[in-house]
Amino acid sequence: MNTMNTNDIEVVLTIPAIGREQRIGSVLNHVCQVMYQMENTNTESNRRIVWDFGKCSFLHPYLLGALSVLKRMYGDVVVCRNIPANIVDYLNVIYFHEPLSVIDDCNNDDLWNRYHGKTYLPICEFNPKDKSSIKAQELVQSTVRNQLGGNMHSVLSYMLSELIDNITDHSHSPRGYIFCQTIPRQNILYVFIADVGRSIYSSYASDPRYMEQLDNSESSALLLALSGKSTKNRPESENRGYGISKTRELVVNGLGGEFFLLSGSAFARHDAGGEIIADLPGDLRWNGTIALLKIPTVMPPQFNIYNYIS
Amino acid sequence: MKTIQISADIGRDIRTRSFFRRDIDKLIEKVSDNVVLDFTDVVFISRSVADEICNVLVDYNNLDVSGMSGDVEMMFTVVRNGRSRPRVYPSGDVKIVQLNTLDEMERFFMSL
Repeated sequence: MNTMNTNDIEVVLTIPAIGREQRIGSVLNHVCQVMYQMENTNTESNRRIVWDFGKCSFLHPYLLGALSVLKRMYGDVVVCRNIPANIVDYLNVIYFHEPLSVIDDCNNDDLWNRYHGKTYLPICEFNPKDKSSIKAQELVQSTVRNQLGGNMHSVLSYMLSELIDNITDHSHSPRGYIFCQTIPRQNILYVFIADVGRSIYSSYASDPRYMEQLDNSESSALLLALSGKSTKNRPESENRGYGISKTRELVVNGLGGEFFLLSGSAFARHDAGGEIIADLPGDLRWNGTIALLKIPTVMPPQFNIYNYIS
Repeated sequence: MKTIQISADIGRDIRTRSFFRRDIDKLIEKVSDNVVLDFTDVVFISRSVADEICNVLVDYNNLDVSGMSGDVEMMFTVVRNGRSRPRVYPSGDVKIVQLNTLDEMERFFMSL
């Protein structure tokens, strides 16, 4: 990630060429590098951060999702420049520059019908506290319905509902984001779900029951989330905390996909190679939580969703 | 006996626990009779909504459910049965790493 001070009021940040074929680790590395540069740039005195896309010919869906939400968070501070002609249109149709707002009670069917059967749903913004969060899930499903095999439609319903429920119930985030892109020739669906709330660590830290299990690293909270510990169990039943833990089991063990989580300054990966949690370097954090799912669009023959639901 | 048609009053595709609970509480608050929550024509409930149905049944002693079929019935049954079993928290084999510098982070991510 190169940065350059062109003058007193601009810091130029070169957006790397990260195509869809790139390894996820490479994508996440660049997402974190951009976050670091953004966090460590003094944006007072009208200083702007220029994102220079001059070297990009393709962009990975995860990188686009994260950059778009960062751009929304930083507002006018970010200026995009040198966007190659071949991706200008793509950034516009996926609403990269300003996520498409999903409104609960405004069923603009003409708008949403455009995406039926497309390989992508634009980057959408919803309010976790109203039913636009449900509409956003329905939009993902109507977009990719014809590209999913078997009963994958129901499986996707399950995963989306669990992860977006977590935003609604735990994040305290004013907004949620969702973006999906299928790669038909690879039979892959990428799903990006993000919030700009209080992070998983802060959610557990608000519950005195977990004081002993949390240390000062945010990885300790991801460990709790991945093992299924809940801040909202009822007295008569340990009935909650399944959202992240079961979704990632379903994605990885059931479907053979990959699951990534970035929350505050901690990161978790779970795929066929195993599970690993990392605390990121000191100044680096996502103010909220991002869940990234890489899901095969074709279900394994023996797969049964109810093996992953308790 | 009052019957609440869930598909008409809440929806056929019910995903969010807190919204479901809010809607149910509103629908039930003015009813003193026994109430049946009729899930006929509901095509999807999430795991968390299935769990919240169980909570509703605990919290209101004048409630029953009916009309569930297919995936909705399966989800509800699996979740209801799961609640009666002791919860097992998988310890797993999770590796935790501390990344102290951007170089360490880059090496970590590039190994994924």
